Amino acid sequence: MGREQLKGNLDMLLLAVVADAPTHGYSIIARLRERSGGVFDLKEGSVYPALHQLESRGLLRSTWSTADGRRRRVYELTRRGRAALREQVQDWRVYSSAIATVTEGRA
Amino acid sequence: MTTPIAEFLRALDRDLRAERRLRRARIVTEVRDHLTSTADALERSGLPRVDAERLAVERFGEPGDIAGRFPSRTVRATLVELYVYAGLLVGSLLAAWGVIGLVGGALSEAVGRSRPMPSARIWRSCDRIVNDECVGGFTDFRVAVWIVSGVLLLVGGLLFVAVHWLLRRRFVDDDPGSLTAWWFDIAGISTFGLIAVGLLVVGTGQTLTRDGTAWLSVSLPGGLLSLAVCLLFVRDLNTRSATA
Repeated sequence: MGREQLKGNLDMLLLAVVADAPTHGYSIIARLRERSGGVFDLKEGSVYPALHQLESRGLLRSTWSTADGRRRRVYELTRRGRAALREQVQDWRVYSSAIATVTEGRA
Repeated sequence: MTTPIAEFLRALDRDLRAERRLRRARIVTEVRDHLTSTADALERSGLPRVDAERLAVERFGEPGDIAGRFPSRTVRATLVELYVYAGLLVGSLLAAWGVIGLVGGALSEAVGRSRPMPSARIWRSCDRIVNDECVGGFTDFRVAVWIVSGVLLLVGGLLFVAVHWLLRRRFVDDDPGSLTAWWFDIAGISTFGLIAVGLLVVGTGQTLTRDGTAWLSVSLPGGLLSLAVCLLFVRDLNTRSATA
């Protein structure tokens, strides 16, 4: 998937990964890569501003935790974040189904 | 020797100059953890440490580009933060007044003119005291008022602080936290300053107008101690201002 397309859907993807369990940035990126079979391989540095953005919008909240003597910021979904994720997934299904319908048989 | 990760973090910190200090520290800590985790994983897969760090940094992106993408702080978040810290400050001041009330009440009884009346929980201001018995004078509610209001202010103030402390954890945490590091100093200076001034001024006044020395013996060291603690907070605040 192209970087631009990925950027447009990054919020939804991050919310979806965090929805499974509270986790930190490194693990979010690893899961994103792993669950997409390597398709979603973005510049790692772009994920942190996106996480901060989601937090400032109240969709995520974060706390410090310590693991192996290192401080980590752990993110979890808020109630608003869960609702936003449901809505975005629904929108995406409608959108992707419309794209498929239009392009079917054209490739 | 500087490592690729340390070099990257320095550059990122420099590019984040516009951010407030604590926010910058949070971002740098998060990124450090990420880069170190990536480098550790690459090292485990067989790369030498320096190459692992270099690759981790390369994958992460350009510091200037990343620094510019972090969202700026919202007005709402700033207002919530200010409210929470104002609440913490007000609670501390109420509690400080409570301490002054309690000390004042306890000392009023000890000054020598007043005696608690056995049949009632009030005091009597005596004209004379003979064999520890009160002679003449009038029923003195001031001590009771001091102590009751002191307890109420102390408990109320501490409850107020507790509620706002919980709000802080919920809404402010230590992320945007521009005031987090400052709050202890601001509240400390106000609280201990108030206690110091209260004890010294009221204590001196009482000593001048009454015949007891109990006020000075307790309020003077108490006031000076509070003043010393207050000055420590001031020094810490100055250090912070210099390094922020």
